[in-house]
Amino acid sequence: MEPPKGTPPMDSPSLDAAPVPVEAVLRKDPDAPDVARAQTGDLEAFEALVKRHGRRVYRVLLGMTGNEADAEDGMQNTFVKAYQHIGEFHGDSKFSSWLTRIAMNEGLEILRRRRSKVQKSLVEWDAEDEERFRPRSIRPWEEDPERLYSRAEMREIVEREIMKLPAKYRVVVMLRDLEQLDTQEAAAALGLNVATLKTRLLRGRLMLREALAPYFRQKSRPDGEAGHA
Amino acid sequence: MLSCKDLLEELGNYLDDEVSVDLRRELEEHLAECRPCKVVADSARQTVKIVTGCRSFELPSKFSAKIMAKIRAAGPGRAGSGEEES
Repeated sequence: MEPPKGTPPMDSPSLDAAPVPVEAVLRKDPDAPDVARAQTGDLEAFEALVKRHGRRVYRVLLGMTGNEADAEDGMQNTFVKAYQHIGEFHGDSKFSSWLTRIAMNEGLEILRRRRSKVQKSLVEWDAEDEERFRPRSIRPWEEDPERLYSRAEMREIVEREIMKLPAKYRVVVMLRDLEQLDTQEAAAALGLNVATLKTRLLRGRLMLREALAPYFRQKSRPDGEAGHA
Repeated sequence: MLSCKDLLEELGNYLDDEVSVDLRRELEEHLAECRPCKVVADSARQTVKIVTGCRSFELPSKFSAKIMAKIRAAGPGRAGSGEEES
């Protein structure tokens, strides 16, 4: 299954490496009935897909671009392209993976357009920078950190700190831990092999742990900030 | 006995419960002996739990309305037409 024309190719197109039998995917893909109806031009069915997957698409684009306006524009373009090319979707992968690949291509296109201003974003996305990450903060956290802040405050803290992560780690954390895709699905959606996805996920989680530590670590123990391993 | 480096390399799989019974036992033996690794593993697990708990963010409904308006304006492409888009 190719992403729609008019979008740049993925850098690591591992999604197409091992096609799954169409019947097997359709049996497992909960979107299959709406996709089939949308392929006949049924806009209500497509709107159901937009509502079901809009948040994930938005998060992929926000994760890649780090910018809400770009993410919203990219989300609109993603769904327009998906609708226009839905006839080319034959169920070789889950619809949600196919859609996420379109969003990824849209995100890469946004980064390329921005190259003069934010070239680092694109370089950062392409770079292989997987050396071992060393945790620095080794002071214990509070037993139940969620009780320290209200739900709204907690979400604000987490989203703010996630947005500070480098894009390639941010988008993986968003898909795995916020959208709760499983490892294989997230890897397929992002065009990464599973090993790379796991490496980036661990790095992203550990970087986020460092960023969240000042909010959640025990205040009364001044020891243990010298770094580790 | 695993080293701290070994533990860090397996930490992601450990957090996601994707390690064998034997490896889990070895990791937990290390954690029982190594306070810094215990802190890192515990707070990494808390990080995942906190992030997972923030997933209830919902997109405003205007987003889907805008998308559908744009789709109606753009036309069907190949959906329903069976024609190749130029």
